[in-house]
Amino acid sequence: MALIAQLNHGLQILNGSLLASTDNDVLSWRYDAGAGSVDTASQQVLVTNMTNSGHKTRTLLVTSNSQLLVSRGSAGNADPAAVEKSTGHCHIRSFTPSSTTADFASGGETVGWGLRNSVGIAEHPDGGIWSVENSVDNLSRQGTDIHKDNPGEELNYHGNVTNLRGANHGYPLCYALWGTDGFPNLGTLSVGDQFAVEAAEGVNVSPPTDAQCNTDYAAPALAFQAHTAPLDIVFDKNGSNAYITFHGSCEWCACGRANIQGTGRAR
Amino acid sequence: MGLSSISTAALAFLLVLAGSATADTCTQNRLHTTYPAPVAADGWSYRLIAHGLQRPRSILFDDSGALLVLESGKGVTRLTFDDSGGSCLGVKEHKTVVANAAVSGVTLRWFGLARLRTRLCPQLKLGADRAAQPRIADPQRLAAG
Repeated sequence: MALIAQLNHGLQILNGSLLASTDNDVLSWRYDAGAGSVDTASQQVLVTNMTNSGHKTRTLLVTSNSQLLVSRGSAGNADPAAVEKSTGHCHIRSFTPSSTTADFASGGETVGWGLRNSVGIAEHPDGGIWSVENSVDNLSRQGTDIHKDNPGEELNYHGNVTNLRGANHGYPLCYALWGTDGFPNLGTLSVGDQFAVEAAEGVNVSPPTDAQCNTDYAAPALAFQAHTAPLDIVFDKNGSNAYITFHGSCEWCACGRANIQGTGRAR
Repeated sequence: MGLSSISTAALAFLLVLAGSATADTCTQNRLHTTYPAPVAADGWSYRLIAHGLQRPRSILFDDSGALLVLESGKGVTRLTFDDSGGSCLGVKEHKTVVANAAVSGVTLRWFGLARLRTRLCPQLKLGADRAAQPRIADPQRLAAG
């Protein structure tokens, strides 16, 4: 039995090794499935330097081509550091595990970024990588409080394991539209489109326009009702169904009565 | 058979969500939830199969068919089950594989589960900055609670 501090969420198996994560590190141990035990002397740190305030889980996913995907969420609700790609905040990154510890932000390959807190990641049987996103709280747009029904939570597509897109999905500059009632300057936007908001505190770039949010950033494949907090996604064996768990929020909706819907279109 | 995990602030449980409703003939497992029970959609049923877990966050089968559970703040636990078919499982063995040195806290409360049907559209072509991806049909709520 190995003794390690603060394992809090991630869990995978790769090539006979058990992988688990703290808020800062991805660790591995050789694992004997028959005995149900790890070789404590074999402990390695595969990825490091992931800690930030705010979101602490680092979801792990081992892909069909033996890559290790790691998801890191934001420091707080609206995280200015996420605008700068080199910080590694709000990324899903892909690593080839080796005996050398990788630095999260500078190592590996970008699967996607501008992802506020994408706790669920899954590989479809066809090799496509999908994630589910917990989007921002307390949002306003052009002086109007839109937080009750916006932004939508997201189902995002990241390309095939052999050809990852590495796209920016908008956070903290662009968000997915869910509720259109009372939405300021809706224009031609429809559910699932990206929209722009004024720069959050500490964000030092000019906000994009709605049009730029839809051309320069990756929109979700589906939007879900605001604050429903999707936490995991799995596909069935033939890939005809995805199963998503929603944590929900008793602050922003009537407990037990959130209407779980998704609308969107193939992009 | 699919698996999902739930927890409350104090105690945590594992339950099995099965794809067909059956009469309760399971004799080895009499566990019940102590909070308002989740509701399964038509054609789906669930059963509580393990309890006393501490903030279970992730679950995974190993090559021997045992279930590994990441208990946040506690470590990695391995469970084996007696399997009487369908959702009728009971814990046979319970073993710590990796132990946390100190307790940390992340609470997961299971709220709802939605199934999305996907249809593959191989005729979609890769564009300059848009990748082909499956079409997604209407979602269906499987269980809530």
